[in-house]
Amino acid sequence: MRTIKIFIASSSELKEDRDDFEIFIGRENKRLVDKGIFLDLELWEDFLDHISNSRLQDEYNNKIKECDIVVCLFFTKLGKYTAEEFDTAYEHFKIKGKPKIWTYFKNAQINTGSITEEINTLLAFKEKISSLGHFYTEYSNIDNLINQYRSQLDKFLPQFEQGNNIEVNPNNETSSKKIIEEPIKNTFNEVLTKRLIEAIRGYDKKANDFLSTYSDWESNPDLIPTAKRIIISGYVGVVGVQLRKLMSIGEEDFSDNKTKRYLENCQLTTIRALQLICYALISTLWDNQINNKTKLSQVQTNTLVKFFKNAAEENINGYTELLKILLETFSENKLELPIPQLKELLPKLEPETSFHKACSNLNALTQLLVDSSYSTTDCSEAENNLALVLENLNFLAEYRMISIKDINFDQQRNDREGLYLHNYTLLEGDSQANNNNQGRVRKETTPVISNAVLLFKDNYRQNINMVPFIIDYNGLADSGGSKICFYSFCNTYDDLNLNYNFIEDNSKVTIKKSNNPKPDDKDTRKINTWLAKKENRKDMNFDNVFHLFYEAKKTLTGIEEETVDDIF
Amino acid sequence: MKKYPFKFLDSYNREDRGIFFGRDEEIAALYEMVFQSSIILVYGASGTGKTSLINCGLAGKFQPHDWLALMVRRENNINKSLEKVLNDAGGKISSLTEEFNWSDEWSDDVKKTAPQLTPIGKSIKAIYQKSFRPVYLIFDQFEELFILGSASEQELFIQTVKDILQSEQPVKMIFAIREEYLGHLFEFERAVPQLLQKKLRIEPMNLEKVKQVIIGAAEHEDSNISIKQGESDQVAEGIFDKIKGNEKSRTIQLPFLQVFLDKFYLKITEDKKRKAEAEFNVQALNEMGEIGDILVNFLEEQVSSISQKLKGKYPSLNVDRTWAILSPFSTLEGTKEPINKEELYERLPDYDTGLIDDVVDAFTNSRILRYNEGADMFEIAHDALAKPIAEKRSVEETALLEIKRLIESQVAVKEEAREYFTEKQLVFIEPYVEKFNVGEEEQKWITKSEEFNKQTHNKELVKTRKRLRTLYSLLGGAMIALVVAVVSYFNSKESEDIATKALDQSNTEQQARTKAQSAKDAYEFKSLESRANIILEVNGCPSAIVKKMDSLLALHSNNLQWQKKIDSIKIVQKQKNCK
Repeated sequence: MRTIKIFIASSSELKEDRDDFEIFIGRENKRLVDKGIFLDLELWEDFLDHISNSRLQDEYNNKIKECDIVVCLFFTKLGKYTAEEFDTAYEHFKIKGKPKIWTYFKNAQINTGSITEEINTLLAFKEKISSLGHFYTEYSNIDNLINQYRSQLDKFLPQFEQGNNIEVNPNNETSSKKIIEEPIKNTFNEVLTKRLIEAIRGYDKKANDFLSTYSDWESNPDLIPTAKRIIISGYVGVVGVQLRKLMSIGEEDFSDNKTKRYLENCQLTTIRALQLICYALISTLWDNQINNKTKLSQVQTNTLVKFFKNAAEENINGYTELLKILLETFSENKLELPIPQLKELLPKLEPETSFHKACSNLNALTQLLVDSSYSTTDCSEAENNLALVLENLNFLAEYRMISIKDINFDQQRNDREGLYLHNYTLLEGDSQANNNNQGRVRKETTPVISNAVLLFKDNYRQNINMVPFIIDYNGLADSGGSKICFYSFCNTYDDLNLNYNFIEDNSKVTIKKSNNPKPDDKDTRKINTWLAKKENRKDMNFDNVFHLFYEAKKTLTGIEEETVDDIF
Repeated sequence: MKKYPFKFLDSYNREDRGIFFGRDEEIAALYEMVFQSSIILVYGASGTGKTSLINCGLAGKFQPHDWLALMVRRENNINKSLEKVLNDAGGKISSLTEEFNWSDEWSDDVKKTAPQLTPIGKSIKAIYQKSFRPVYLIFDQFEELFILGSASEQELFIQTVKDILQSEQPVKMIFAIREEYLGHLFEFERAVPQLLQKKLRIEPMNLEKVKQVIIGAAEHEDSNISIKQGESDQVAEGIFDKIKGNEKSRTIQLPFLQVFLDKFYLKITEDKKRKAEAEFNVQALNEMGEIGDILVNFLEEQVSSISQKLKGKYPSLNVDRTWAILSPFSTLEGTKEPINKEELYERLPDYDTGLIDDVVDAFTNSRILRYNEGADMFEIAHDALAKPIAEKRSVEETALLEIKRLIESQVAVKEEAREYFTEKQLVFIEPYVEKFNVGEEEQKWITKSEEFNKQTHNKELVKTRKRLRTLYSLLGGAMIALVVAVVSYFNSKESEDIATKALDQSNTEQQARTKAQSAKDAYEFKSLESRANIILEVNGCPSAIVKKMDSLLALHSNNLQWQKKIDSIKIVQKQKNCK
């Protein structure tokens, strides 16, 4: 085991940052232990200095000389001994080529009341080290510091392993500049953007126009955001929403939090895409079973039972398996696929295929996230895996989703026929902020299912109704705007409530049966009075979702809604 | 490291979400509204925490990649401020990307082009494409548009909002406004009907919310405040009762709570750096004593303390002068008015600029004032402090401000459209005109108004004189006729009858003269009455005028109406403790 000694020097005002840095080093040790490297952290605080004497300072200096790395942190104060420690380290580095020194100045908000005269010594110190040719870096918060330092550590470790200490000519300090800092290029989403814009050009006119006009778009920084926006708006709305989040996270400065969120959203994007296809298939299968009863095999039935009874959130592997069985169901029973391109997807769901592996790898991110043992390398891999998944689902760029709000009927006197006005919201990748609660209107000669969430390609009339597996909560509640939620799982062994995830923040939304049943249709007066109240209509809408779910369950699995009789 | 969990009168930001308590329901409601509409209104009384609710509560519900908040304050002009905020956020778009048709309508009309974007729409598009985060434009202290903004500024802003809504870009707007200004949104709502469809009222703090704040802050892991075990509810209820005092209301004002908690902490720890740990307990709370108007007391304490501290350097400084330096930061209505140093010096010509600088710095350090770096202006840290500052103004200062506003509002208009100051207004202005720097244009208009009023007055005098002359002529004629009649009669009657008739003539003459004098006196009385009422309105004492009125009354002792009017003026005088 090779030990790297790290000495951290800072004033007491940065104690929190030092503590978090210590935790970061601990996590790094978990990662590096397999490589036979241990980071030994020495923490020395200025507040001890008031009781120090020259003998104690000699001990500090000796420790510094023994260390391989010195990290100096500054904020509003210099710290008398921190400056001395830097000098000791620098002088030793000039002679011996170690310790390697990193200097960070915190650039964050402070209250004017906390500024003292010590700020002047800090500024003077900054000038001094610049004149020595020593680069320093700024950090905004501890996440930012950790991410910057992690990248530096990744560069330092190979050198350390090879035993390469930098030799320094005391008369030529420029080499010390080179090893101190290099700008860290943000390459998030470069691969994803390139691959996806190519993948959808066959299905998306904008993408095709863009690539035809700007074949060298990658080298033009002004065009890269355009390419990203085309991808966001190209893929069907619910996937576009996730892609927007990924693009946004990618633009942020490096931080531990950024890495975590990027990995989480790579997973979510995959889940949403797989859910969308699975739910489209289940919805279509349900319609088929209502009209033409098809005999399903035991495996197929069991899969559907598992889906409807699942009392916990399914993961990527689970959805991949479900998708495979559903596609086999359609194939074996010669049923027409709601999305024709899914026929080509079936063979890709076999184990060991690249698509299957990509899904599996994305699934495996869960453990990394739980253990907090992820790095930017994991982000790069996740990006590649996601690109592969979405390349194979590029046909989703041909599809649109809308949420039907309400339908009005318009027929004037002496009109032979009336017209239906469909109020709807078009669900787009950046629709969350774009929502006009007044929606759009479309004139049609026939009505459409109320509160439907429709998936369709060219012809609005040939749609797949995704309810109750994908719902618009705000549409059902008649509260304006859109709140698209994906079915997640059912409280099968409890209150039978249905659990959905809101696509914007993945928060849980529960649909339960109300205690406000609709009166019998036979009593016209009573039902009209009841329907006149908005609250009752809202309850009716949510009860419909609840009822539809159990109808689908019954039709596809034969299982009736379970009730528990209280014998007392 | 433990931290002090309260932010005194400062508003909370996203970073403070760990220590923001007591508004969970409001945060949840506001978050739901964000997905229901592109435009949301947050309103409530001053100091209820609207800004904190948006910048901390709502912001904390979003992941960083889902929230790009751009805060817009009116400063000098809301339209320019909005433009600046958008420019600073990167609102410049490359011409290359404008070629692309963004229309995503799946209708058969494939030739349909995307809506033409206005400059604001293009700006927002550019900002969005920089980070792919939905843009949230937060218009804070929105009432300033109606207090300080002109009609044209408001109209342009309304049009801008309409353009933003029609731009179909990922942007939402949140307006935070004091509830007493909701009525001013009438025109805005007519142009933008969805303005008031999603709105949230932030109510003052009730007991339950106060408990959440205090107990939440104490239980937070990084907090240097704790509550003695078993006393959480008692302490929270005790604090609520102390602040509520004898009021029958079920709520308290949030700024009072913030100030009280800070005072309570300082009482226990005496640590002005607020690093020491404090344990809130019932005994210490009882020792706090009853606290009346906390914010005003706090403000007075600070004014007193600052006066004391700086007296050594500026011997002329006293509490009144310190209040006078604070005064320009509050409007006549008692709302905040941001002001820069130059304007402050102009408003306080009798004060040393060094003194003003030191006092402003001291108030900034004690968090009464806040410096807005972007606008290079100082302002009161909290709305709730503006009214007490306004109320501390002297009668003279208030009159000066009213006159200043009166003059400026007339002179701001083009000369052709201006109205002259009425005599009543000139009477009001005259005593104060030398006490502030009247501009050239303003002085010119005052002079013109005086001339106009003089001319009008002279015309009326001429008319009156003409009337009197006519009257005298008629009287004279009557007298001549009478004399002739007397002579005739004298010829036929005894001299006693003639003498009697001569006396009658003299009485008629006297009556005519008396009538003319009465008319003159009536005019003068009316004028004096008017002046007295004006002076009373501005809390002055019109003693000299009342004396003149008494003198006139003495000449017309039968005039009960005059008596009544004088009596009512005297009653008001008495109420105002005039001598």
